[in-house]
Amino acid sequence: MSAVVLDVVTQYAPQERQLVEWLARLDEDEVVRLLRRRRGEDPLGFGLSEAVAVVTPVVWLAVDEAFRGLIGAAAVGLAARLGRLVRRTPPLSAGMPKLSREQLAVVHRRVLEGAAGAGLDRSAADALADGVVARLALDPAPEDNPPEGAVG
Amino acid sequence: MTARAPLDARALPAGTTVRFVLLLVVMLVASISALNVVTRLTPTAIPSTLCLFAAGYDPDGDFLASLLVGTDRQRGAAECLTSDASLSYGRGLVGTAVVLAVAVLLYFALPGWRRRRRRLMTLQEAGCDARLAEELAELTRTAGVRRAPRFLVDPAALGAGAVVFGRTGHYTVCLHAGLLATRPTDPAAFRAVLLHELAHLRNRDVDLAYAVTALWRAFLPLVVVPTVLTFGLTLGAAQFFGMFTGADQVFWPAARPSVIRAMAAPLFLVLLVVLARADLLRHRELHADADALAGGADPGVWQSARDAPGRRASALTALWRTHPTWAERRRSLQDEAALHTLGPVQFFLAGAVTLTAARTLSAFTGNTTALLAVALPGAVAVALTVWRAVGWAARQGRSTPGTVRSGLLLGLGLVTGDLMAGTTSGSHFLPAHPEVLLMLVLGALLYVIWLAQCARLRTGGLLAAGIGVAVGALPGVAAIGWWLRTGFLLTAGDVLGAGGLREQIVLTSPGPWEEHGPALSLGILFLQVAVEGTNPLSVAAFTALWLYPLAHRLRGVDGLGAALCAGLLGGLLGLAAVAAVRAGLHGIRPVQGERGGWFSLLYLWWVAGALWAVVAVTAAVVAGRSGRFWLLRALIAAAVAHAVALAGQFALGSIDGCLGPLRVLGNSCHWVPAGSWPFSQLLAQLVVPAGCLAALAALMGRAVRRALPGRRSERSATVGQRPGRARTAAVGVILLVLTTAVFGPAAALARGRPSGLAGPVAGQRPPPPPAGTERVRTFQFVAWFSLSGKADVQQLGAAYQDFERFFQGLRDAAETAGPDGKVTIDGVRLRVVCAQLDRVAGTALGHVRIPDAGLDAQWSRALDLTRKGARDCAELVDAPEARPGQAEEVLSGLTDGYRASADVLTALLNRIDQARQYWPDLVRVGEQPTR
Repeated sequence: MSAVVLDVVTQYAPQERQLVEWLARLDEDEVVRLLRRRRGEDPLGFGLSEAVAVVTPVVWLAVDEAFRGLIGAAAVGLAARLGRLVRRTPPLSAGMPKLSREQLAVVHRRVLEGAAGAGLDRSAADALADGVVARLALDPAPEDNPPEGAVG
Repeated sequence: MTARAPLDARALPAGTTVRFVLLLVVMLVASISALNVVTRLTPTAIPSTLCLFAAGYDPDGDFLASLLVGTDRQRGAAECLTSDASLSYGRGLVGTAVVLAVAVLLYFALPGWRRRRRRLMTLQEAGCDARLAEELAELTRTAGVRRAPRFLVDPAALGAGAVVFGRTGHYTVCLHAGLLATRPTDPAAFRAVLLHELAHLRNRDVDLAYAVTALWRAFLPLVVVPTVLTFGLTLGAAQFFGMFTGADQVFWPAARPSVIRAMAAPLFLVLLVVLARADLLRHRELHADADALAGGADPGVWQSARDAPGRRASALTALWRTHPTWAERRRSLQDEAALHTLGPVQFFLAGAVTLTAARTLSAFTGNTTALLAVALPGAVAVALTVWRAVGWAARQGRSTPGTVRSGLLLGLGLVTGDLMAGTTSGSHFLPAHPEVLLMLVLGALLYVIWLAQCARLRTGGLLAAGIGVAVGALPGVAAIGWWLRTGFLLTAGDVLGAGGLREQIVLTSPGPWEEHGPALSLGILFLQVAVEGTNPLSVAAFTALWLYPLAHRLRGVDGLGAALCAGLLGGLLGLAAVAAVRAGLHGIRPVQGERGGWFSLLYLWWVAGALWAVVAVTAAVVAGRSGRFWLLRALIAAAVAHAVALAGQFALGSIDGCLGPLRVLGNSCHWVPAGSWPFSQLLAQLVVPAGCLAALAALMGRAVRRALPGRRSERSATVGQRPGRARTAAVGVILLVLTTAVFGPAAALARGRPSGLAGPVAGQRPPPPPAGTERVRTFQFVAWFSLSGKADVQQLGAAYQDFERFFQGLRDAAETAGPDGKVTIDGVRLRVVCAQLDRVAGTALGHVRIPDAGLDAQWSRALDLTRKGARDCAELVDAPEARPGQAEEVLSGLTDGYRASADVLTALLNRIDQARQYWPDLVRVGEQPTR
């Protein structure tokens, strides 16, 4: 999944590429937890809490949600349900499933919502959402082949 | 008077460390107190609680009445009340040790936990280039940080910031991923952020902030939550379901305010700690900003920074933010005033934290520990803050705004802290005389003004300022010491008066006191405050009040000459007042030989009163006529006036007999300094409290002067203060002083009985305790029974059973006696029986009295008769020659004691039967006493 995010970020916010590469080294559940976590004031921090990297979390969370929805819908067996209970979130497999048109529309909407929340203007948000959907619609790149230029 | 050589304010520490330490202390003290109570929920199991009840304590009564419980010289009561004092805080201490241990573990574990939770990476793991490491090393050197910290990357932190954390010696600077992402495009911001964070390290902010955080995280779940839950549930159960589970029903509803206070106190402390910590951290941010800028950071970074959406802080929400707004930070960089001016909030917090902790700590460790552990850091923090603010303002050629406001808020903080401690409130939310607390407000106001004026006087460098701060802290510590020792008792009313001081004076120095009621009241006031005159700390503080500014006068500061002259004039006025007192008393003096006792006291108190009046007038006049150093001048003038008048009084007293119509004690003209010396010694004890009065009078004089229309002090004229506002403030101060004087301690002390002759006399039998509810009275009886009554009753019963058997033996012998009818008494056995009766009755008489006047009279009479009979008996047996005539009399006496004891034992057992319905566990006859 991080490959999808990296592709999109490289295209639309190249200055954030390094961030995605760092995040890609963490467990994906961890990344989602960290990105969703609301950060308050850090005592003895500098006090600049406003995010300067806004594309990465928007894209990562939207793509993550789309994949989780797919996997969640597919996992209807008892074992899968128990696994969900235990792990709270389903595991993301190395491979990326193909998304239907409706699912891509959902992803598009999620990216637009996230971008608006992050303060991106409408045209940039549209471009970003289109870019994410386009990347997802394309033949997915395998996770274990990081894109060129990725560190590590 | 002019100030010279202003101090570089930054040379002095900001006092942050002291205030952080104060926060740690206050949490630990609160832990001891709260955990002790929470782990000991059944007061009736505490021996001293039973002693209190047995001695007549009524939970529904006021604090003053409870203070007097056990003060009637009952040997048993005194021993019993102090029997478990040393153990009573053991559980709290153990609990606090656990809290402290957890806090230490957290302190060491928090940095690692943070690294793991946020998945922080090293620079190598993050693949950062060598140039970054080089730049970081260069910034570390620039910031003056000796030991390089560890640099980590937070990959999920998308802001362009950084944060420092860690523990002593092991620090981490965590670079946010967003900061690294923007570094290539905005290197100035990167540099500014790093210099700011490294300044935190250099200023040792990490050590202190994380020590407080660690203790806070242990304190909250281990102390606050259990305490609030315990008392909240107790309150709810008692209030809504009629089950007072915290203690016996006898404490309800009297315990309601205490339970609410016990529940609210930790919450209040939470608020205090959160606000104080946030205030300190905000202050440290401003210092780190200033240091970063000094290290070469680009000010444009601060100019372009904006608060996050929703960060528009109101005045209230701003109080618990750990960062100032960017607008405040920009202002602080342009004008350092924010770093050095007096922050009213920190004064309030310092006052509240200090007195809450000091009162709590003094309750179980004594005053000395409380003064050293709490009052000293509190006073040093206040003195440092004032000294820095004044030093900076002097360097900038500015006035020191906010002195009055800061003093008032310090006082309000002290009042809040005292009320939260609630020691004198008894079964109410407020003490009997809350108006006395205004003394704290006035005292704090005067203290801050005095500090500010002294700081303006200072000369030289850091050493001089350090000495100034040390001397400046002294009066603050002494004032809190006075409040902890005796001052707080004033909120309960006239403690000594209620304890019979007035009657004691009348009894020991009989005289026509009916005609001298005011003098007697004055004397009682003097006796109460004279204690402070002999306290070394108070004497040192008083000396500092006037000697510190006077020492600077000697070093060349202008303008104190007038104050010295005013002092001399005041001293002469004092001598005139002493002469007037002499003239007044000359006409009523008794014949020679009867001038000791009441007349000497009358003379002493009138002279003291006259000197106090002169000192007060001198201080008020000098303050009213002085400029910005009005308080220092007034204190110096008052001290000089008092010294001159005292010396004159000593001289006059030494030639008392030569003074003609001014003679008071002497008849013939001689130089008798030895006769005058004791008076002078007693008068000298009143010098310290007179200094406090002088300060108050000076404040009044200054306020009156500023309130008068058409007069503006030179200060308001020079710094452009609005006269209307200054006048309003002056009127406010006048009202505050008058309110304190009318409704405060003076009124409380003057409330004694005018004749001074009624009421109990110490040493005599005390009056019966006031009638409480039936349940309380029964519990008092049960407490007595549990503590000593049961054992005494059983032992007396057993002794009389022996006596009865002996007596029965006599009867049997008489029936089988020979024709002469004579019966031989077994003297040895009779001696044993009588000795046992004497011992048992004596022991019972030494125990706490029965808290029931009727039963106690019966019980005491029976014991007295028993002891008398037993002693007569022993005397008869021990007599070398036989006294057959006395035998019948002795037996009759023993029989009287036996009958009286039988009667009272029956009454006591009936009473205990009644009590059994309430407390079956406490009154199981036949078992060992509860204690």
